[in-house]
Amino acid sequence: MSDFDQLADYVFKGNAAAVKELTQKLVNAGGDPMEIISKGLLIGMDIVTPKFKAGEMYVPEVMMAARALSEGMNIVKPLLTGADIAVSKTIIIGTVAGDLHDIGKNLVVMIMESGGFNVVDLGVDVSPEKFVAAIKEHDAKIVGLSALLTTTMLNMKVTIDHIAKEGLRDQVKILVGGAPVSQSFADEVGADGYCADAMAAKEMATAFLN
Amino acid sequence: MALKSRLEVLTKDDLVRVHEATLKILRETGVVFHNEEAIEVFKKHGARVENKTVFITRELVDQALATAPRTFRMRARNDKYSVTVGEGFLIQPNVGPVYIQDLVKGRREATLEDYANIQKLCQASDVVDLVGTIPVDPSDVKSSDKYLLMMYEALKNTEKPVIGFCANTQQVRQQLDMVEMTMGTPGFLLENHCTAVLVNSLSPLAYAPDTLETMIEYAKRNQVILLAPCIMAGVSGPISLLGTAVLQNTETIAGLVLVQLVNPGTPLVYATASTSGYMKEATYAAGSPEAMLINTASLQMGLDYYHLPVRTMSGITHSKTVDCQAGYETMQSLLMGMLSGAQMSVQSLGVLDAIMTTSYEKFIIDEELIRRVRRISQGIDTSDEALAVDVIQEIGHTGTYLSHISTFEKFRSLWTPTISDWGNYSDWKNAGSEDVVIKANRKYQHILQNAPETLLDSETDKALLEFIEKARAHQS
Repeated sequence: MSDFDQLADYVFKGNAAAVKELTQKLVNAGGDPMEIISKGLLIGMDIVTPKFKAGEMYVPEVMMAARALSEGMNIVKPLLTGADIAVSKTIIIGTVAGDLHDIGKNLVVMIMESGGFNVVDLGVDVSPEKFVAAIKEHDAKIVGLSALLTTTMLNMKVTIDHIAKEGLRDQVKILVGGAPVSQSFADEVGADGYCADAMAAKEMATAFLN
Repeated sequence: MALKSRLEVLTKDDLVRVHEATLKILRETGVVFHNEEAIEVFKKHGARVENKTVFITRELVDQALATAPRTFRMRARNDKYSVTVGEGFLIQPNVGPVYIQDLVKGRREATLEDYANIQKLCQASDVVDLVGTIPVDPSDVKSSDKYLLMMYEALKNTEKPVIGFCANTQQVRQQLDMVEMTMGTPGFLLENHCTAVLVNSLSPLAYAPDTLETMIEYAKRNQVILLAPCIMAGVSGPISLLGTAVLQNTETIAGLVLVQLVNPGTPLVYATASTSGYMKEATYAAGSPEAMLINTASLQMGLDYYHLPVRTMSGITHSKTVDCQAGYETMQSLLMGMLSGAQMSVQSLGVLDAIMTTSYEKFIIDEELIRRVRRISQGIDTSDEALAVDVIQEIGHTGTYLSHISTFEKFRSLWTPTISDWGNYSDWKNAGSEDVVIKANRKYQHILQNAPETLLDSETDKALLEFIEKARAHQS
């Protein structure tokens, strides 16, 4: 097994310590950071995704793989030059105002990061103003809004309206998700996409960027 | 008549272990309360507070347990519907579904009309004891109005004890005022428990702002709090079922302490609504046998260790339609809930899809499941008369019991179904080979067609509508 294949396998198996060690070894040996990412780390996650979709891998295994991946990314990311970092892959995400639930949102964050996205996680109970400030600061192209409660999901519309009022609506694609959220609700509040789960969020975000 | 045993998963020693584990967590890790008033209450009573984390001592827990009632009366607008909480197996409406579903129109977002319809079904039902709450969340009204309009529909279409909604302080006060207007004189609520509210902790080990505002307002007005952590083992709680029961217990006891500090004697129902996680999706598993096993452990704590009235979430399923899976998962959950000693049950009236949906037809079918389970809970008559030695000897070897006077006197007390088909094959075939869901569809429509226009007198109705108008004007 080549070092890259080995690295991918460690990511797939969620072995964070081994990913860290091998990534460091490859970097020390003068390996190309982009190659370590694209031929090693992300390949591991590419094995995970279809297995998760097929119901063979469970969420805790996906999260362990994502955690292992980020251990490797932490080592190679600082070595990337400005040209390597695609600014357009930045996504702003948060649970909308009034809602403190974050299990689903955190899952989306991990899956997005494992897809190579630069995720700016604003946390929970995020005001429309904070979303707008973050879009401006990070020049983001994608915004993810999360809500668990039927009472707070209405703040998705408030947030989207505020983004529009600030003149940023055409600059970003807005994805919404959460237990009570549906496609028709997403249409009603003027979102660009409804994501039923974390994998759907990653795929939709990827599609929007292409 | 009653069953001679209960479903149990913990030994007496285990109950002590769970309690001691709870005290250790409350004392050393504490619970986060996202509300200034709650924090102040704890500080005033000597609890150590760091930022929003409250550390609760054994003394505070003991004191709260001493003032919380074991049973209490809940007054209905029509007193014949008043109930005692802490005995029997009371049924309350579902809480939380976003969708409504029926055979003809399929699944769709619920409206205020659907909300009113479910209230009518609850009022008409001989197995539903409490009304109100959120059996379906109406999508066609403004969020600022929703609480007023739901409460109005509940009061208009029912006269059983009503359950309100978790909301902010002002909205909660308005709900309570509306209930009081229908009960009679101002101040009536302070003397009588007329309404309840379901609140959930923000697992793990926290309480959200609206939840606390609701708990504090209900406690101040001496109304009932149904406190139910909804933990998913492996997601928002430990993967071990016992660990999740410990977390559930810890969150409940923390809430109990707050409520008893705000107003000692406030009735609080130890409600259990946790499930195992569905680890393929990191959501919760509604149809799992393990869900009720967690709650069985918690019910033992509530009943046998704390002597509080207990409620559970039973009758739930993950099925998307009224099919075989919906039937067996619902019955598994409901039966385990009753056998575990629950004195009240929620999510037992037509839920589908892990409580995302309420089905009109399943509501009717679940009524029968509840009747079945209640019958089981009664056990058998063990009197000398029931031993029936004299009758057996009288009939001897050749007679028939069918025409014996003892049969004639009692045969109608045997349980019979209200929706299931027990007839013979040819009758069933000649009647159109109908599925139970088709019969249920006809039945719910019939009930709705025969429901009274309103159960409010015109004066109270007018007063409520004026109250709503004023509240709306105040908002804008």
